[in-house]
Amino acid sequence: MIRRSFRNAVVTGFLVGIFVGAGATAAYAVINYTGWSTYTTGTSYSTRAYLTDTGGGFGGIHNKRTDGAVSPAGYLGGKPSIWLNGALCNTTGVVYNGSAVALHIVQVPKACAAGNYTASGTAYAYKPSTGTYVTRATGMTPVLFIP
Amino acid sequence: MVNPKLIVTAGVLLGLMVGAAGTGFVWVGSAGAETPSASSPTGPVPGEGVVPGSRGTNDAGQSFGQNLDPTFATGPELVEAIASNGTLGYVYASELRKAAAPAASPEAALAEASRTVVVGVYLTDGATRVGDFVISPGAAVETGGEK
Repeated sequence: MIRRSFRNAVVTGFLVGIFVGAGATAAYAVINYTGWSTYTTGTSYSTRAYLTDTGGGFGGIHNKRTDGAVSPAGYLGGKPSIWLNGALCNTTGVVYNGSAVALHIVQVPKACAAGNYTASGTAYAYKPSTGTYVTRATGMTPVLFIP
Repeated sequence: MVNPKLIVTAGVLLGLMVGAAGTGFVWVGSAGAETPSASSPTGPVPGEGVVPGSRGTNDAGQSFGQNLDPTFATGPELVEAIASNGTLGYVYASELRKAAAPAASPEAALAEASRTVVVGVYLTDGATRVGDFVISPGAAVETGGEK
């Protein structure tokens, strides 16, 4: 009887520990965003950059119509870059939305050593009246140490 | 007779460790010490004559230095960057701008899937190549329902 109580106590403690441990670790991930920058093709768009230590580190860019409406395939582009201590670490080519989306996200993974990173990017939106893309640079994220 | 409180405490601690490890956190050492693991503790190694964060003009009249403008439309001709082999040097801003050129149309954007482009990393002279800088294809995250 006493032995069973001990076993139950251990199992209960173990399960509580797993939940608490997992929750504490999830809170450890950090994401630094820039503010939203708006630009227009006649239609208003918004873009921002972000940087996170989740998954070993990556930066990215968000691009969307400000009103939240879906944009047709090929209308939204993004090109994020990340810097380590001010030196360019990684960037991408322009990546467009392959299908109609409300929010287009492009990511670039950390490709350099551990250190203090920042991220920013360039957003692209198609302007049908001129047949060209309008671009907008995001701001720079706050510095984030990525191990 | 073992104290039941000790057993419960041991169960909670064990659960905390398992819960944390299950979400990618690495525990190091004992006595409750924990640190995130470092993927690469060593930073980039400056190429010969390269001084991190410095600005200037080389003998060929080319400006060099850091550039945090994601469009690379302004700033030095040689941008401080980290080669894939870990060497710190410079890439040509003109090469970075080429990768930022927008597609001719949404149809062209969909046809030209972003591809990997390799450009040279040079010493301050802009001529001595010390490594490669990879402009990666990037990863798009399509989120049709998100605003």
